[in-house]
Amino acid sequence: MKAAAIVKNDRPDTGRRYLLVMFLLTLCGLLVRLYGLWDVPPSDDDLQVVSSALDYMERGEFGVTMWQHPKLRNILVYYSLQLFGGSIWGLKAVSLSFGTLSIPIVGMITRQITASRSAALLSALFMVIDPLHIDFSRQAVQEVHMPFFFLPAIYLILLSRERNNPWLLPFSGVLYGLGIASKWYVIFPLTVGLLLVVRDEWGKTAGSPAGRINSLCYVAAVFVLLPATVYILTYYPWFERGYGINGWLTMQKLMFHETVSHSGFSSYDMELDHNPLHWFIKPVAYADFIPDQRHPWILLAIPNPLVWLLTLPAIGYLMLRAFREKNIRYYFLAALFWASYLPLALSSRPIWVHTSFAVAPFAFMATAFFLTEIFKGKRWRKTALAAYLLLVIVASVPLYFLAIGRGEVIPFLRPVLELYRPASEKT
Amino acid sequence: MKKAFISSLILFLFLGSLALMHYTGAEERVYGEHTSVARAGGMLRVVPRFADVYSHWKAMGLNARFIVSYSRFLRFVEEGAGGYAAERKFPLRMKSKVGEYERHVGHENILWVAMQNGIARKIHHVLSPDSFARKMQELRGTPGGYFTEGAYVTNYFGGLRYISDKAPRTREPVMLLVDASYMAETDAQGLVRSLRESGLKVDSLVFCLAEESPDVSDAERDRLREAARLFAGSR
Repeated sequence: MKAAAIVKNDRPDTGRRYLLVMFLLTLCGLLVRLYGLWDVPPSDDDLQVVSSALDYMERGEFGVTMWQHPKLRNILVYYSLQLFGGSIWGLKAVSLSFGTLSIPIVGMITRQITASRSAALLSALFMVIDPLHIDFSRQAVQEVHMPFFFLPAIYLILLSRERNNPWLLPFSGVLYGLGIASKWYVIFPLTVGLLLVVRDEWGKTAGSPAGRINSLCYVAAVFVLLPATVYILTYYPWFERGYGINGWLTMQKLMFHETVSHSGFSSYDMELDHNPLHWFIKPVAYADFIPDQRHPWILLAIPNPLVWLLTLPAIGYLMLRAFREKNIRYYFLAALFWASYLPLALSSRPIWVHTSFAVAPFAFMATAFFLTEIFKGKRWRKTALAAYLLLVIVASVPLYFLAIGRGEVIPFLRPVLELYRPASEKT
Repeated sequence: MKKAFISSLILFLFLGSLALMHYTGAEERVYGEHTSVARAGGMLRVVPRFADVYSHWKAMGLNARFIVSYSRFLRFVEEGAGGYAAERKFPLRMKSKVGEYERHVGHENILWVAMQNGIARKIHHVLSPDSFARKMQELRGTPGGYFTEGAYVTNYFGGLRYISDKAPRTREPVMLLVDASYMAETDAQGLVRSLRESGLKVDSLVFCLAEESPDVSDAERDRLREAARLFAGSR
């Protein structure tokens, strides 16, 4: 899509207002992720992430938590600890910054795909207030690292198409590599991005077999070899233990075996909803417990049902529009969603909702598009959208306090916490 | 042309990174003078306890090595997870536990300590036949590893481990440890034959009498001493 089409009819002050609102949303996102963080003691996961980072960087050992996942988190947290010491910044600066910066990037992609500033801002808002994203932006684990890398990778593909500039694509490949080095699920959005670029190059090189081969080799290099290079380089500390490539391949196979059969680290994990088919059809939750002398901290992240339960209708609407208008960008977003969601939804092993970070950004984009389209036009529709957004924000307030561990101190939230008390503690 | 150039550059980077990683690992390994195990009689050390084995390995200065252990047991009981611990408060102060592990090295955990301290990057457990059969039954259906030809492949937080009843096929010089518990199901001639036929190259060969282990009988220790005499006589 040409740049002009995206910005048609836009006056400079509209553009400035959009940027200002996006900036304010990002700032809000940062503030809600920071609020009260200093009162929360480090969780077991936080402590194990630090131990794992030191084990990995100083001894080449995978460390005690999530050994089956790739290792970029260990590298990032290690250097964060070097920079900020053992402070809360040392532990959490990476997740906080990655989580916050993902907000405007979600908006940028939405705008590229839908050509709508309203949809862009709405998708960013959904990310700002998402309790699950807030919860994990405040933890040292790597869940929010994934979207921080694959979202700009996708954006660069869209920008490359818009400007007909293939030299942006290697940067996309590097970002995808960093995403896969955070968690393997990024392979799914990478595959969709690769297929879109192959489709484009195939069309551009019709009638030129040599040009076609040249282009396809370029795409393969950028989206296969380059991410693979980045990925393997993150294992440098492990190779320093004396391993060779054969050992690395054996280790990857072991990690894969564990990933496809993993069933959590505690019995409580199995008490939580662990079926991805439920994510968009009913409220689900993820809970962490942090012991403390004053009172236990219960981080209960329940994604906002008023947003999440619109996902499947929104995706359906998106696909209908894609089909009717033969709009490749809409197809692309739908493909990103399904390619990231279906492998999880159809997996036979338990998968908890905190794995949804590979899927949720696309859900937010589609839902934002859906809402801005169906509420477009007459004044009453805009009023209805405003009323809906007000409801979403009001609902997000108690969900926010649950996600940051303040549910225990707010009386009317205690019954909600009781629903998630471990079975072993129920009388 | 530009695309072809960038593609070639990326391919070069990819292959270069593979080579870099592979040779980085190879450079970290510290070997001593090695020979075929069949001719390693002069290198053989017989020690009473596992702490002595560990001291010998440390004195040799070997690092990032492949250890082959003949035993009835895995000798891999972990004392604690990970190399660092901290209190649950800010600022975090991480305390290294690795130095403590060496102080408690013994018959249950020698291979785990060797892996924690970087002496071993890879361990191949050669279990006695009955012990191996029991272990394979235990491991069926458990996550974290997979079965391959004649061995179960697993890892300890990134440290590769193989559990088998046969020696590995490898051209890399190994550190070979035989402890007396292995002699429960074989005799001295059987062990010597088995070692010679393994085709292994070694730069460290230790027989441990496992005197601190309550699971090892005097008869087993005697058979290991006999095997040592046979082996030493075959230099």
